[in-house]
Amino acid sequence: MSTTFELVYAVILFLAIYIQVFFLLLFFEHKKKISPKNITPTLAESEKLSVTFLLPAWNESKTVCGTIQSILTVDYPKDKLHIIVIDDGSKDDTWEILQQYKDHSQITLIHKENGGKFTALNAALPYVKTDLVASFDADTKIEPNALHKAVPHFVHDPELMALGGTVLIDHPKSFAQKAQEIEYQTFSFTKKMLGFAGAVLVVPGAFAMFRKEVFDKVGGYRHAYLLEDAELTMRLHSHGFKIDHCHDAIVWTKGPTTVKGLFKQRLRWSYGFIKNAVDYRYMFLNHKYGNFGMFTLPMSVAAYVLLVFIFSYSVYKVSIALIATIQKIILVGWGGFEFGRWDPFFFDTKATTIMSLFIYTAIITGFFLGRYISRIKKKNFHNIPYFIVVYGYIAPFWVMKSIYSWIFGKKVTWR
Amino acid sequence: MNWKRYLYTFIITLFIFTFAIWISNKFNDEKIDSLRGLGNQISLDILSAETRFSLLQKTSCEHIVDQASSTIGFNTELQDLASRIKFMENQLGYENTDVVSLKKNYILLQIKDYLLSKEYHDRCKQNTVSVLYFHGYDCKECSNQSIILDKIVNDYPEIRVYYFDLTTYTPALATLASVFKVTKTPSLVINDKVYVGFQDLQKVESYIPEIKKWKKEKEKLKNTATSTATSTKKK
Repeated sequence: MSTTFELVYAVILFLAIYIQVFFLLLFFEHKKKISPKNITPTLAESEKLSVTFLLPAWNESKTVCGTIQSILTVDYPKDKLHIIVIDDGSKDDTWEILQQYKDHSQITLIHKENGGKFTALNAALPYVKTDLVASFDADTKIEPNALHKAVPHFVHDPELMALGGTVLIDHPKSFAQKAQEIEYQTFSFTKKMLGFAGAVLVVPGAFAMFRKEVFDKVGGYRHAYLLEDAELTMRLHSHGFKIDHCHDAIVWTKGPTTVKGLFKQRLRWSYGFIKNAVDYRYMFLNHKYGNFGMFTLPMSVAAYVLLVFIFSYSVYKVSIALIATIQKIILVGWGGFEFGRWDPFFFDTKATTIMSLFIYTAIITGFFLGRYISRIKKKNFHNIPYFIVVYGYIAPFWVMKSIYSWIFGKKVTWR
Repeated sequence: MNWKRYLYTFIITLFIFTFAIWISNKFNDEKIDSLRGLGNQISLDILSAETRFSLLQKTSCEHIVDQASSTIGFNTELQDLASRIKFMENQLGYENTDVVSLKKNYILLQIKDYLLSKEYHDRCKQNTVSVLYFHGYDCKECSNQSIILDKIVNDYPEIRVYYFDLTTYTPALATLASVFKVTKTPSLVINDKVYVGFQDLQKVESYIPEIKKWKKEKEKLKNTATSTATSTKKK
């Protein structure tokens, strides 16, 4: 039993190292494209295309005005910036609050029966008359220069169909928010690298831009097990459309405040991803779908497996140590505990440990590279422990639960 | 699609993978070497003590008793060697050939130390208590017994506990086991008496009468220490 375990462990470590090396190679290959000495586009170029923001809202009476204001203050010609707010049958006074904008030249209001986020987005699509469409989330704020950063990508590359923005956490206060702050900074790295490879995993619903014609070609949003942004991204890849990531179009979101809320959100994401990936399984390791099929999809699955495996293994080791300690206390009482000697002889120098060390170093490097790429200056390293606790010890549970729900056909709901 | 990138990644990953294995082997080889060195050192110490015994055949034990501290030195060295060998066993596996040969060497050193301390006890009437502990591999009662014996060694450094893993075959060990007719594990041999099966802390202490004496002495020391402390309080 031990040798099969060692073999599985070795394969898993090999895959984990492979993934990290792949990302780092992408970075070295393309790092010139990130450096600040980029050719800055002219103002005409960065304002050439018109944009409509789609803002679905459900019981967002407290946040919807702040979000609308944030979009209105974006640095962009007023006649090229529109917002469509869709009230998806809110039970609170969201619709009443929205009435203050009913005569606003840049804003269109739509009211409909509750049907879910994807129905709200689809309801707005027929009203879009601009070149570009941007999906946006209700509790998010956008940087004023975001469009100046994002639009030139569409102007310079006629083949570009979709562009994901960089999402960061706004003033994290709670345990869960601090963990997410670090997490989103590592995303900045991985998403950018995947963008270079034309293999973006998800253009985030919080801020993603599309050419309007994309929806005419592939259809609107789908239910997609409550993960419509991931499904749309997969659908676009299946049509061979080009998708990229904009590392300096930044939006700020709050993220779930409680660990419980975060768990629910991530459970939905994991479950949604699994179900959608199963629907698009023909793209797996299929070179017809480029790096998305050959790398991104397998990597995501591998990441789930890795997380569950490593977590189970640590739990196993900790339980053994715990049982041994309890046994010792039962037999001889409390005294006689030796603290580890600081002798290099007793350092763990197994090959697997050295490989794990490499992997952790690579992940931390990715975190710092993500900060470099998105030019994040704020020093928030003290939040790294929160990140480690949530993603080392809590994440495996939502992954395992989502796998369980998938296998046993249980439904996962939104709130 | 850039196939080259996948190839380069594979090559670099393979390199990192084999490098980790290589460097791990290097570290382990160094550790094994250091253990052989330690074993050799202990071997030399034992040889030196045996030689001194032979030289001072019938003459006074005072000469040897004077050097008492140096013989007690072995015990900690042997313990240190034992804990390092155990660590290597965890790192490299029970069946690793280097680990097995280190264990055999260690068993021989223990037996020699036992014989030496027996002679010391017989000739010079010194108070050394030796406990022979025979255990197996993967035996639940044995790990419990080890815990108890570790505590005894910690509390009373005058007691020498020799750990013999019966599953490691070496002729001297087989002979030792047959001398005391030990077949089952765990088994304890204290003062030439054999105790088979798990013995808890109280039982083990009861087999070693000297412990009662030492406990009393320790209590006395503690009491005198506190009483002198109170007497120096300022009035």
